[in-house]
Amino acid sequence: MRHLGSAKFLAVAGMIGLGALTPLYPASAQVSDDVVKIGVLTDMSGQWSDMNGPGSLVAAQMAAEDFGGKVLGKPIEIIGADHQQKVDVGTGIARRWIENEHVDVISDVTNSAIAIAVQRMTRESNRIALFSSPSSTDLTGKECSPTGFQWVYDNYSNTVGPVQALLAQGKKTWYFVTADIAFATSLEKLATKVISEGGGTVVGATRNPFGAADMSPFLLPAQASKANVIFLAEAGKDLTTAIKQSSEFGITAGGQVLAAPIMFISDVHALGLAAAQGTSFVEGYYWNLNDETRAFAKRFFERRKAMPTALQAGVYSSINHYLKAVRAAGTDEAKAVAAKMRELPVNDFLAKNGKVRVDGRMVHDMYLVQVKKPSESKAPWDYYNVVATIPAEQTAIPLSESECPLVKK
Amino acid sequence: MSTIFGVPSTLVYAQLLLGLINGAFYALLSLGLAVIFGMMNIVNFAHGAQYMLGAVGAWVLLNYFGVNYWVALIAVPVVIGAINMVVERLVLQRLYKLDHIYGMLLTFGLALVLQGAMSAWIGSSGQPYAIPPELAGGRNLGFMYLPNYRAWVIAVSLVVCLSTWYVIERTALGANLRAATEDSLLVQAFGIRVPRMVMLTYGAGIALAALAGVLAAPIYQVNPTMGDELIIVVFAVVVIGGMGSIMGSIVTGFMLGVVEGLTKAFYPQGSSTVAFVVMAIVLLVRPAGLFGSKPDASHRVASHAVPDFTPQGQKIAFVLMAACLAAAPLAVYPGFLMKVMIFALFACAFNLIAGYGKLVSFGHAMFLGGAGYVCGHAAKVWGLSPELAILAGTAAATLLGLITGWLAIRRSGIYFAMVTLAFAQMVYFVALQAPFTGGENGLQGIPRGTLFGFIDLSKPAALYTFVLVVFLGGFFLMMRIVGSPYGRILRGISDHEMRAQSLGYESARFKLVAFTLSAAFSGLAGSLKAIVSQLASLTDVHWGMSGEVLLMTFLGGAGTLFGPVIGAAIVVTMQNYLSALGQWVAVIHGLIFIACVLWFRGGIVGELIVRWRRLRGHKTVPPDAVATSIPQPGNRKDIAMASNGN
Repeated sequence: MRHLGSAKFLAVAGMIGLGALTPLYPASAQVSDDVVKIGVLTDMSGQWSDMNGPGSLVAAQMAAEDFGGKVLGKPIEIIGADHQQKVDVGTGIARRWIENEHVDVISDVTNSAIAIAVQRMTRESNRIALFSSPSSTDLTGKECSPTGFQWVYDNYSNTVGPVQALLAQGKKTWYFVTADIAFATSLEKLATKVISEGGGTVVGATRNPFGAADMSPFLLPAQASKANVIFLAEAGKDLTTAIKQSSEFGITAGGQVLAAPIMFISDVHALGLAAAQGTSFVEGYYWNLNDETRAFAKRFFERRKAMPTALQAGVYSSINHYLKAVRAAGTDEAKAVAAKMRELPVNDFLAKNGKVRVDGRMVHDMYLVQVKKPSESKAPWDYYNVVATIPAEQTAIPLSESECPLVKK
Repeated sequence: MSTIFGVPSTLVYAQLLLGLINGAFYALLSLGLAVIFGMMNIVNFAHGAQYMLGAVGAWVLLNYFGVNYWVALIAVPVVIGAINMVVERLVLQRLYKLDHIYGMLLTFGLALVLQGAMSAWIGSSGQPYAIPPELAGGRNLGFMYLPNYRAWVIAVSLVVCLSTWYVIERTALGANLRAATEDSLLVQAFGIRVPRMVMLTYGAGIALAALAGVLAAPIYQVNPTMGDELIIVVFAVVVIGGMGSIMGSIVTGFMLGVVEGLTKAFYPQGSSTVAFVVMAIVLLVRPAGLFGSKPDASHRVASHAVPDFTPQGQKIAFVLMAACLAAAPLAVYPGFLMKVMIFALFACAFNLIAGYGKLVSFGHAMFLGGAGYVCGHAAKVWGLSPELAILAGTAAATLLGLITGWLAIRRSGIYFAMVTLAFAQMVYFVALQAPFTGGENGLQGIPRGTLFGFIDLSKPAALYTFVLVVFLGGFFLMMRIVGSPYGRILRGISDHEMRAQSLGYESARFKLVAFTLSAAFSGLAGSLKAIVSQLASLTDVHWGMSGEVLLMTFLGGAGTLFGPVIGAAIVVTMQNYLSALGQWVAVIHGLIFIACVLWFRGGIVGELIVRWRRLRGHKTVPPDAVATSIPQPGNRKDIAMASNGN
């Protein structure tokens, strides 16, 4: 009996499946005309949650509030989600936002691998991506998009200058300790190029898993290599762990120099001035620069009980600029808004006459900072001496060398 | 500079020493695990979580009560050990008579609860814990600079391990303990209070884990997931050393640390997998482990055959399911529904071997994720059409299933779970390191392509229909397999292997076919997942995924046709719609695990069927339970059990 019934019944089931479905779906997703919805996709609880995380969401909310909560007479809605540093989770959320929740803009996206996936998705579905945190130069290089923007910094801005400076001091041999994730491997590639062009040599490299509890097995080969410089292609907790263990195993005391280009004020705060003093790196924003930066930082601090990082400030700045562009374009259609974003100069507490290039990279003046000695610090979070201002045009790959297909040569 | 095989000798020594430190932690943890297994026959999956609790305890004492490291070193293990004795009394005691796998499931749930709760509380990135000032600094050993604290860890763990060994092997108390593990009834007859002894042993085992946690806090920081990866390696240690062997765990713990250290010096990429390679070899060559004396301690007492729908009911349910899934996209986000179907397919595939074959694999993620990578690579790099790419992924999983199955089915129970886990970890290693998988970034941008050259899968309706058809087709096939004579023989083997063999069935061949089929369908699910999500990632090959499919299957009802579908739907729904709860979702998962093991071993569907039949006054044997057994006189007892539920 089982054998007799099954074929017929499978056919019926199949007909239900195929027949019922086909007419049900509209050809494309609905256009969200009645709301401008911005999704902050970030690391809410993991090792990068101090430099991004809940603080990024707060910055986005501040940007919406400062705009009166409305643009073109329609409400601005901010939502946030935790990608847990997992590519599948992050892309799953982004896809749901785009396909089912009328999200117009995806913001922050710390983690370059997730950012590249989001870049592809927003390009295909004609949405805006505001990358204030991922640093891979691919985002505005070979993966660039007409509707994707990289805001605060990238691997190039933070690496090229400091590496050249160390080479000029005669530090010729380099060893990489690199996290096995997209931003870090891209950083290693870029730095290797700069080192070899500057007459230095790379004597070795190790790859550590992202979020390694113990960095010492990866640091010891660097120590044994006796390279002049140990280049830490790490960020967040991996970076602070590596710095702490370098001192635990006597690496810095042995005369080797650590180069850590991707560092933020949250890392300095976590390390403490005693451990971090003297470290030098490039920042896109520092709260204690001028009255404008301090005004934003004060409001942010009241909500988060921490000073904003450059990345969090970038979330505010990029959303603010986006909303201005929506107002100027008179629509939230992504391509029209993106064109306006490139046309208008960026002027806020983070950037003065910042310029959005054709490849989507927003360039602005940046700062070479050095961490103060504990004795120099006069107030909580008073951490940096600004050593030099780096002009905007030196902070990104020259367009003439760009791999971005949007750049016409 | 002197070198050993091209590696600076100083580096080799340094990595060896670091390995020894890791080995100290392995030894401390595996010692506790071995004692608990020896006494209680429980494979304590929560051991890593207890280690993490030790570190958190030290951190709490320091930050909330200003209590320093030295006090914490004593206080934390005592308190955590005491709390766990209560847990043993209230919960674990109920498991001793059940199959090992239930103890493992329950403690896996406990681990999820503890880890989730701690992540929600202290954040998943962890908290710093400073090295106590008395042990700061270090000394130069010539070949390396050894921080004092790390030397201290080696010393403490050696002393603790050896004293534990001495107590168990050389004192009267230890003699009683060992006797009780051999025959607790007899020992009880001599007037020794065995239950109390078991409780104290468990407490002591956990205290050792907590002590390791306190020791680890200044090195690894206090992180909710710190026990997560460690416990898997510690399992390997215990299996290699021999389940229940004290000296075996100590020696193997240190040895494995050293082996890992050496691997780090010569072949760094392989360091995280070498433990599993060793484990797989040992299990296959010397199943009792290097020092073990209990080759196969499986003592299956109660058989949990679960009644299922009648064939007629199955068809009605199938048509209903098809109709619901076809109509659902009207109301529900199709992306979510497709995820449910894919995981349902995966869980049903898992159910083939775990539910019907009673071989609970802990490595099924390798088939899901492995097939995803192959399918993705085929579609993206080789430019195959989606149907061929899916075929390639499924074929790869089938082949992998055949090879790993051929090796794994020689073992049963907990050993089977461990062997499959070992193979899955090796696949994970390949996925992490191989150039074509994209490592941590995953294999991105897999094209959906055009099915059979004319159906454009980038259209949402076409994609949904395709997933629906594949899911229903796969499910239908599995339904037919289970209902076929082959399926009945398989269940007969899982109920009583010896009897099936004596009836002339080659049980190994049947199990291998079941395992391979299960792998093939898991691969189908994984390939489909890669096409739908356009991504193949490490999450799908991680052992957490093997745990998730276990949860789905047991929650819905292992050994029932529709149970895994229901289980998958519930778990995916929780992940999707409760994501705002963050880490608490893991806690809920864990609690479900625990509840299932304690009260609903039949799962939702299994329990419902039992209740329904009772309501209808069916005192007779459910028809399907007859089908599960090979008809022969001696089988009456099993059938009676089955009809009673569990």
